[in-house]
Amino acid sequence: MEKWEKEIPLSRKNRRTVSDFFAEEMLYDYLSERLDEERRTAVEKVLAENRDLKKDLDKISQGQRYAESLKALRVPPAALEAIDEPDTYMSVLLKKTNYERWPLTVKWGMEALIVLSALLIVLVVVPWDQALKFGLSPRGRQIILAEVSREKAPEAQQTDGVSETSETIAFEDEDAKKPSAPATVAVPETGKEPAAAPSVAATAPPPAAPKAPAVAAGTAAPGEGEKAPVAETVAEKSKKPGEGALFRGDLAVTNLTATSPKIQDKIIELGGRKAGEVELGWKKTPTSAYFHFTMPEAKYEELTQFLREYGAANISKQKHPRVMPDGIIRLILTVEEAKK
Amino acid sequence: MTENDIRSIALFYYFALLDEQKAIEAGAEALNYARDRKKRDPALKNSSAVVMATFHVWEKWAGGLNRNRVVPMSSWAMPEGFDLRPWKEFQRNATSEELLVVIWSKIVGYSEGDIAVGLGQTEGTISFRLGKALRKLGGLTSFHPKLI
Repeated sequence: MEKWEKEIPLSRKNRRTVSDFFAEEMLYDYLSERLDEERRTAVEKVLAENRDLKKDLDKISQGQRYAESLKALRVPPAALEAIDEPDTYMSVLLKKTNYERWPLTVKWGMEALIVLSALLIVLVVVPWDQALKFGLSPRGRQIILAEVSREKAPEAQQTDGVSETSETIAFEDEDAKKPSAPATVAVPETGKEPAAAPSVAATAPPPAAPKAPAVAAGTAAPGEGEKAPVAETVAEKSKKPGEGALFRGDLAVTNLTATSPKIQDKIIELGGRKAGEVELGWKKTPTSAYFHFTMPEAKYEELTQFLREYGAANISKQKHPRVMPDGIIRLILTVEEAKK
Repeated sequence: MTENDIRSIALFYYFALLDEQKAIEAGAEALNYARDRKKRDPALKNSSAVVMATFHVWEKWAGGLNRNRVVPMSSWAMPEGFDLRPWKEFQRNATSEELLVVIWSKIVGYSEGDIAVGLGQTEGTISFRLGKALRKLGGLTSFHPKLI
């Protein structure tokens, strides 16, 4: 090794000279004053001889000054706070999915999909039928009232939107009749009973009759072969509380708008009076009218005949806890637009 | 991480991306990354952790960066009369290596040693890149002699 070092000197005349190429690479270190004395002298010597290198040195110096002047940028505090803000789940998700780099059309499509999904969930989950009933229909609100009355009176019942209790056994526009109170009605003994009134005479008095004296003389004049009028006491021995009746039925008509007022007039003509809370012919739905009324039982047959003119009325007698005064019946008739 | 480190990150991405909004987003990501690095290696200097983090996030963002896009910048104010045109041109034309070392070394003010540790390179490499980059930047500023 010693032999080789002697034979190949590292520098000419014991001096470390640099070529232009090396001097160019050392310009930045020269400018930064990080070269040792010998290197610095060598680079300076090259710079003195080479104009291009001198220009390069000026460029580096100028670039350094310009770059250092950029430090003067004033970063707003809000930006610093935003950078230091802790990540939320959403921001992490957006970063992970590189959402910002998605094509605009894909972004819009994704957003539309999310909005549609949310709408679909709302449409499916919300019970719209109940919401509409409670929000718009008066029946829906009545249902709530019925629940309250049930708590107060266990025997309370609800029939097509009209709440009833045993305490308010009669309708508001009628005299109450207590189920246990006996009633005496004068019945002419004609030997024939009206077909439509199986249990009550055809000459049954108007609704005020139950308050008549307990025993009344018959009005029919005695004739030949006829028996003398007999005052019959019709004490409601068989009618116990909770053994009343309700006539309920429905009728399909072709023109509800025109027919409903006619039926209403006929009911009034026959002595019928509205029961419950709603008016006669109340529009239960756009295609049905609701008639809840009381009327003399004797007129029942006439009413059914009248209704037959418009269609087949399907009326049935049902048991009902409410007991009506003698000779008075209560009906609930739903008239609907016939389906085409 | 101190407020100074956060400011360094903000400066880095502002000049690297030339987009205020992206600078904030990338800065937040880099800050989290730097904090994570510091947790793993508490002996690591903040400056090296910042270099490591900013470079890591830069690599992710640089792929989708359109350097020719002109983004209006308003709230991050430079001194009045200062012209950013040479820098914008440099940002468009320089390589990533050149761009980043100039920012770290001359704008943020980190030492070449810290940059070298953060990048896992030698100081000589950083010094070489710096010389090359500054020569390029100086060439651009020479067209605007009044700037300096």
